[in-house]
Amino acid sequence: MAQVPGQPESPTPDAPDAPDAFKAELQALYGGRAEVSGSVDDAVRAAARQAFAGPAMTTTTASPRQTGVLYRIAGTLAAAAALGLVLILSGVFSPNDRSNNLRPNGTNPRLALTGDVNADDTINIVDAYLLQRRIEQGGTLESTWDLTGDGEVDAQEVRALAAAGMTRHRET
Amino acid sequence: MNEQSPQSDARSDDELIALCNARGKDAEAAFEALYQRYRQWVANLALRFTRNHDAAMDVTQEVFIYLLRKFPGFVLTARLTTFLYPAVKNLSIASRGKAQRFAGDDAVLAATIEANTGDAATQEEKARADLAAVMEGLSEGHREVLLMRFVDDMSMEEIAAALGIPSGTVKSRIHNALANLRKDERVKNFFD
Repeated sequence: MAQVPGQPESPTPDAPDAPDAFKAELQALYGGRAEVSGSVDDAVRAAARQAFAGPAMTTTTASPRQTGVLYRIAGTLAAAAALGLVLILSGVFSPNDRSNNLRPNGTNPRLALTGDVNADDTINIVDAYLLQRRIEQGGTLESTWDLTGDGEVDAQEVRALAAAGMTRHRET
Repeated sequence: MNEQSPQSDARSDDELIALCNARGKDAEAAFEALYQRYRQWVANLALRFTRNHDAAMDVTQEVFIYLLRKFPGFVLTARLTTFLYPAVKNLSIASRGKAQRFAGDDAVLAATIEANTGDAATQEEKARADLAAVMEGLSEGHREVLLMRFVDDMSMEEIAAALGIPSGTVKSRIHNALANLRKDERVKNFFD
């Protein structure tokens, strides 16, 4: 593997060495190059976007506090809009549905947060990430994660959750 | 995401990490630069540990999300590779433990070695297959330090930091691993 950029060479004069032919063969055997898929790039960038979202600490036209308030308001509005869209698409909130039946396990389906894969009462990028892994690994998929309402839980749901990038605590 | 090409980003890891810790307007771009700088290294390492491309992708993603969670407050005490290496290794081990799907890839590897030792194989292919078999026969500790030193091009100090062992132990392991290889009839021609 080549020297990683951003790191200076550090000489190790007393390090045991090996013949070049041996090193070349090891490189050929174990230096395989993995093609990094676009979905990995997207997931990492989405996580970074969310992690670094928030009030900027550098110079802005508004004061840091004002900027923070604006970010919070904008974030709340965006989250509410995105969540509403997801819930409507998923059919969890139906204007005509007044039922309040409990599931066998005692939970109320009307309180179930659609897309809350890790059941932490929050929908965010972590759920998108976990759902993607569960799909890839062939794990159990809950029908409540069918955000698009097409009867399947697949990459469309992962994209919907990732795009929403939202955080919304369940109403109790 | 960022306007500056990460590949040509001249800023050091320390500078980029400082920007990420500050969580300012440049934090996301700084993280992207770190990601671009190390994603291939991480993916290659993950592929080596998992021997499965899909699993390597999972591990690559998890490693950078793990790194992301370290901000703010991340302090780099050595090179970033020494921080990333154990993360890749541990997540790969966990990934292998979770799924049986790697058995298929191990079978492919075995078949490849088998194919390379058949009658049609060239001398070079047979030599490579022999080396693969001998390497697989080494202890995990010996094989790991050889690969970190001669494939990943890590220094003694980096290997020691990544594995959490004294550099003298690293040196001793490499020395003993090479000595074992030199004694093996199948690969000793590499050392003649």
